[in-house]
Amino acid sequence: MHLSDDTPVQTPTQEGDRHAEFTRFMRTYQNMVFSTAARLSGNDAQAEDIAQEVFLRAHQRFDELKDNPRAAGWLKTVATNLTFTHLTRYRKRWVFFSQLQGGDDSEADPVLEFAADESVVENVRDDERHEYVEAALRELPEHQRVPLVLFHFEELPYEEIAQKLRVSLPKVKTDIHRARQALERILARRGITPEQLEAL
Amino acid sequence: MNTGSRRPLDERELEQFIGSVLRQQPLRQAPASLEAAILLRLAAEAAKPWWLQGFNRWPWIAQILFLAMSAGLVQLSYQATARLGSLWQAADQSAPAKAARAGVQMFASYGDALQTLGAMVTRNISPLWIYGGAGLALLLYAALFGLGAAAFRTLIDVTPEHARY
Repeated sequence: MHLSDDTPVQTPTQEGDRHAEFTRFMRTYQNMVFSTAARLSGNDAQAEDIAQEVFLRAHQRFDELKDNPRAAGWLKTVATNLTFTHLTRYRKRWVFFSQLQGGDDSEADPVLEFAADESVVENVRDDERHEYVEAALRELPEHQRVPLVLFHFEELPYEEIAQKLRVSLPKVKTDIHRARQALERILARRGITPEQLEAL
Repeated sequence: MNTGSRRPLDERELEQFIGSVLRQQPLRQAPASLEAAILLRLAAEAAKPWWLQGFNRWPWIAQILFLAMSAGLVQLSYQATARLGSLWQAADQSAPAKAARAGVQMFASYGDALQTLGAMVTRNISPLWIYGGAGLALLLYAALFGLGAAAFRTLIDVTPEHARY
């Protein structure tokens, strides 16, 4: 970062331009940063705090980031890492209990109880479906949601997920598989099935 | 929809289905308050005096002065250490320091004498006598302890007041 670009020597006009540029930058990426944090943490309030922190860090390095095509990747990485930091205080407990539960593979995870919907329809409207999928993701236990989100949204390979979460590779695969099974059950209750998806 | 009649998906189909559902998810809408909250925090950060902000945000003259002062402090601490060293040497040659050293040497010579005595005993007396002596000492200690306890119980009345009558 060039010191001469920073506030102490900037004129008011330059400061205003920088402010406007940063606001544009924020508007471009805030949904992406918030989505990453919200899906990983499963908590919107926590995700908002994390997103704030991400943009404060981005502001410190704005001169490097503003015209950088890799800014989105940088923001995603920082959002993911900060979410992990938020989750870290619970992670030891989470690993312990999830491995305790996962000791017997034949024992299925508790089925998520969603209120039975009387008005299940063949074709769920897109926005309703999106909302429902997000809610279903939030309901997944953390040890299933986090690897699932990293695999399907962040497109990380199993090995990297295992490394990031400091758990074994078979455990990551089992957790992701169980998360998919749980999601499928939830979605089926709303009529969201492979057949319905193909028909769209 | 009757989900009970559907064929269960195999692992590959399940991965494809969930992957497809999640791929179609649009980004979540960030809360309207997010932008304002960030700008507010940035404004609060900017309002702090420069010396409370990060070093890279200090004016360049302050950065240079700070580095120069730090270098001066390092130099000063070196000089102070050297000065303390010479003071220590001077104190080491003083009369009280010499007396203390003589005291320490005297204790060290007592230690040496005890060590020599121990070595002589172990060299000239057979281990059987040493272990036997140690065993006898322990036995005598236990016997004296037992005698002391018996004498205490016999000669001193320790019965509680309420249990005497």
